[in-house]
Amino acid sequence: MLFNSFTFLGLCLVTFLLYYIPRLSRYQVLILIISSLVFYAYQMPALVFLLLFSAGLNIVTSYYIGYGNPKWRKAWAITGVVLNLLVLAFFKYGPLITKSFFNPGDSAARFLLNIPLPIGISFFTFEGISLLVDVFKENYADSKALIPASFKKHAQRILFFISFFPHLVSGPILKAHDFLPQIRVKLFRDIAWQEAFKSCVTGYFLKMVVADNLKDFTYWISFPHFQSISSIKLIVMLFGYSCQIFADFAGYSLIAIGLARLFGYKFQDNFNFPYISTSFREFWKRWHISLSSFLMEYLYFPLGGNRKGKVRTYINLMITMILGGLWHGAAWSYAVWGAFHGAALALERFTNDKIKIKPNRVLVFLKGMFVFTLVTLGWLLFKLPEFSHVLEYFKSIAANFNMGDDYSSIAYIFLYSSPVVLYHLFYVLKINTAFLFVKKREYLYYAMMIFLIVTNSGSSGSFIYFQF
Amino acid sequence: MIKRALLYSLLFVAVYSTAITLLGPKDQVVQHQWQSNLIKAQNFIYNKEADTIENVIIGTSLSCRLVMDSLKNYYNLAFSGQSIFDGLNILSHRKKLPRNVFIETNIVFKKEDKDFTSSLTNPILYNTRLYMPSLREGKQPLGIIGEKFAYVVGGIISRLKPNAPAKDGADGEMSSRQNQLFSKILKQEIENYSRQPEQKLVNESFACLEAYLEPLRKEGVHIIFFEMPVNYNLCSLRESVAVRENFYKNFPEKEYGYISQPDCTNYKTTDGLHLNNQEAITYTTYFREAAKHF
Repeated sequence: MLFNSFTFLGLCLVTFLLYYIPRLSRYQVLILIISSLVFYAYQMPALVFLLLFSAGLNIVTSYYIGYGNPKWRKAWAITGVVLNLLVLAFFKYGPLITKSFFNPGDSAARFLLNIPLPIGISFFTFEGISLLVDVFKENYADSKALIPASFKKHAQRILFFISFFPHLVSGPILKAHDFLPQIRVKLFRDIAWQEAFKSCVTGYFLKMVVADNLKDFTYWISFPHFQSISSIKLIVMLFGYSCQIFADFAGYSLIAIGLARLFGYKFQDNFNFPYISTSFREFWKRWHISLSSFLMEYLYFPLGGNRKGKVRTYINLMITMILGGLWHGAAWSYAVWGAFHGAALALERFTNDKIKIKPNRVLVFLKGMFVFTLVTLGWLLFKLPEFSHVLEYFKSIAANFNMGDDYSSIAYIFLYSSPVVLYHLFYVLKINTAFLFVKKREYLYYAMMIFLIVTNSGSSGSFIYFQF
Repeated sequence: MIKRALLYSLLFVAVYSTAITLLGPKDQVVQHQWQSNLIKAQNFIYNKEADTIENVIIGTSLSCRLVMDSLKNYYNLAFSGQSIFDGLNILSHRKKLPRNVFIETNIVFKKEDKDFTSSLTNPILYNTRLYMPSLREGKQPLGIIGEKFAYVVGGIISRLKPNAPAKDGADGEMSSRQNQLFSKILKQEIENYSRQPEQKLVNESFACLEAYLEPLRKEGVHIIFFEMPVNYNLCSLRESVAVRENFYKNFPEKEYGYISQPDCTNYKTTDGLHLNNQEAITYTTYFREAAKHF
């Protein structure tokens, strides 16, 4: 079910009304669980069983980590994490492994190749792992503070944590220690209306006006269509795709954050103006924050982080980023994309250690442009999963300079990308006094966004991150 | 803040809707191919003039090349990148049906795009667009701004590349790079068309087509099939022949009209399938003359 469909709006409205009926306040969690299962089951009802299985697995293992025999805590934690990863590997990476290492003609291979990819599996699996690690390590809170003694109550809380619909299919990836302490009765008078409104309007605007319109122009970054497009348009399309992917995913995250606020829950910000980054390290602190912080906390640090010497730091960075890349999709191109970012992070660390230059405005600007350009080139691996097609795209940029340009499409790509540029620019300028003038009239910007959502939305398309 | 934002947004919508109604009820801006399909469909659904149209053409991007200026009293409901079933679905929602429906036979295995048709027929969207033309695809405010902006962009690019053509039109003249690409694409199309289509796919597609045509025929609509000319290398390949044979088998000439494909050696295409502008004019004349018999 898409956040921008009428069906979803209906479901959300009914859930909201039931949720805040005072007499039903003790059933709030149950109401959200039922609503979330309906939301998830809408397109493929059978996949609800997988969601329930994943939740069940985490309910049992986390409970035994907290309340089982202390001798077996570690064994329960390892079993839980391994089972989570096996479920993910089977459903998400089964087809990739089969294609890469087995004969696709075999009946077993055919079976594996036909397994449907359960939507959101990468997100809810990681949330399950975060629960097990948080309960086991007790870094943030005592395990008993996260898990109540009553198994029934625990089961309900964890099912809610895993399935809560705003984050279920495309994140942000919740961490148990952030979310579980928030579960309690919520009151209508406590709703943070303004925050919810701002998040939802900005999110829907980015998704429906920016991303959904850009997608119809960047569609042509597909093989073999791009081969007969002029160099300038090919470059502009890449820029447009970079803005599109941001608007699509940041838009989804903002809608999720806004919806959660309506139900009294606060999610961590998932994007923090990533395209103003002047280094790859900064980029990953600003882009898909819930994933990058998850990878840092639950993978990079356990691997040793930067505590075991320079060479190990570089290796750890590469491993983290390659696995982070593969998390995005079951294709080797995602691993290449991850390796590309891993190499950039390692190289950046190396040069920062060796070369010390006093930063100035020009240098900061150039570094920002450099990072944005490389990040944008990297997105090509998302759009063209076959590496040979990526190379062909670059060849076309070099060869098609004398082809005629489609001025109209180029103009529209710039026009629909401009909100993303302005969005980042406002952030950069917010320390400027002129920004106060803008800030005082922010209702006009939200009014304009609503107006454009009503009059200028693109054709509805799935969120890019649904495939992950 | 929220109340103010909502009030101002209502004001913006009201002012814009009034301006559209008063200043440019007929003007429409097409931003891209998919939107062009939607605009074409919405014009057919909402414009009262569509009730007086006697002939409707259903097809794919191949039929989009037909030159409609020379086909009076025809409506071209062919959609680029989509299937004939999208056009048929839209037609099936009409109360007043045309006298003749011309259906392209070249591409029949492409499935219907349910999102496309449901976005047009969804009762909420349908009714709001019916009473508020400013919410239709061709009236988007950024579309209007972008149209003006394109002149600026064009000016800048033409200064950067003074010798380059404004846009590679389908005018028949191709650069060496385009020739190279043409050969590559044609080779791929020859490979595709050389395969025998799967029987299951054939059965499904023709059953679906029959399901759409039966109610039209019951309403007295005359169905005429036509095959657009393509590159001559593709005309006699397995898939083309199989599709042609299945049409004659499932929809016999006694009950259905046919405009047969002209000699393809006389036609040039841009990519093996789509006619260039000059050839499109030639074929439109051929089509118009042949259609007079129905």
